[in-house]
Amino acid sequence: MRRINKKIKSLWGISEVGFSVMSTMETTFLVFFLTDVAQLPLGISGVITGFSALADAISAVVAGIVIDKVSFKVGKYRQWLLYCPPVVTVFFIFCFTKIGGDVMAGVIIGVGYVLSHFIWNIAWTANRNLIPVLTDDPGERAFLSGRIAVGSSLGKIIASYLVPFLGTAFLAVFSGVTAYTVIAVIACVLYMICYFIHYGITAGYDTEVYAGKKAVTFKDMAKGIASNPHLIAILLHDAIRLVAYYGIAAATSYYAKVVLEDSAVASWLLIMFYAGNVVGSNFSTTFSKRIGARKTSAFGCIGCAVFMALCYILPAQTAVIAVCMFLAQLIFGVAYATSTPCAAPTASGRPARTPGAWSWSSAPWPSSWAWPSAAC
Amino acid sequence: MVMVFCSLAIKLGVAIRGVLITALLTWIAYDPNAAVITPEAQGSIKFMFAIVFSIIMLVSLIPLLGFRLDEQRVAEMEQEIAKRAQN
Repeated sequence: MRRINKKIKSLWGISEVGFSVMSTMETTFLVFFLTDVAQLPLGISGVITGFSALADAISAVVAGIVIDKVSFKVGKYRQWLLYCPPVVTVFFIFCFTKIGGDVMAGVIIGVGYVLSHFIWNIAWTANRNLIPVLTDDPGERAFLSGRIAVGSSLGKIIASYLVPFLGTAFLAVFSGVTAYTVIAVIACVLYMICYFIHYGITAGYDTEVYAGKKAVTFKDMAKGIASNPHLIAILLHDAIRLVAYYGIAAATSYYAKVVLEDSAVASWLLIMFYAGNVVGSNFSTTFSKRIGARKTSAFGCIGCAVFMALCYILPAQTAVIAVCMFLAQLIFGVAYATSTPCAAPTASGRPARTPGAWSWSSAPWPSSWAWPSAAC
Repeated sequence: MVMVFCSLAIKLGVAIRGVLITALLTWIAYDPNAAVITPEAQGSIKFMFAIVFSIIMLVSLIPLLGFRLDEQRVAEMEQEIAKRAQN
């Protein structure tokens, strides 16, 4: 019988705060950094964000394979929390630099993006996989998963405030690019500290040596997907709505700068945006149980579209836009967590109307393929 | 299986988002160094922020029409899987 100790009860989930601050800095502010701070040509900015993210998608699969295949003498997952963050730090900082001419700077940023993501995918997956290793108790596992979700939300909100605020404050001391580089350093240090804390509090766990475990191959996965139209439908739906979700977040900086003519208000708009999502997510299970995950997802997307469209019609005032963004994300948040309940029955035969009965720790696929909604 | 491909969907979303925003900025001839912010520039950014992504959000509902699993079908699938496991 494995049970979590007091340190884990107190501090588990803090890793996600650090990770989320760093990843939100990238998902929300990288495009703005490229076009307005580093002032790279729009074509190069598009290539960096497009190709690097696609390479990242491939690297996520490779990271899953690495986690499945590699074991250390002292355990399987914990060591990644120690080894990966310093490497991530080095490469992530390159994402917020401008070294050399436009093309050279673009290449350095792209390489930094791909490598930092590849390594953080490994650390993130290892961190999630620790949950079933730390405890056998379903209640404790749910508690740990919940803490991860809370940490992730907290990190997004912190980054939403911190990045524009520090960006403006540092401009008094540094150039625009250097200001963002310094913020990236701060985000990375926070990420490292948070991951090291997770490493420390889990000492004495994950000591089993794993050998000879049969892993499902990528080919098996691809075959399974290709023969499952329901799963393809859900994944397409998820990908497209996330284009909008991340698009709104990234476009907020442009809206604040050009329409509201005050870049600093981006932080408040984004805090409302992510706060709405957090509040809405709490109602996801209730809605899914009552009307089904599919209808919940449709409701969330339509509601979000309506309130965002109101931003076009209503006066462009910070308070009005902040309220619209909050409400849009409040409703979208209800749908945000529905992919797993929708997708679960397509893979495991469990009904989509009972998401509460499903948990990834008991899913019929390798635990290293944990729900990756925060690992962007 | 689901989780790796869900991750791919997210990363695909981020990739398309990046290309889309820079393409839209190119289309509206966005100039980050413009000395004066014109009403046209404001209107274009407003359109991108509020309308374009709302439309994309609605477009995401189209694939959802292909998701037609109900509890009866799931029960049938479970029986099929159980039979296969026995054989």
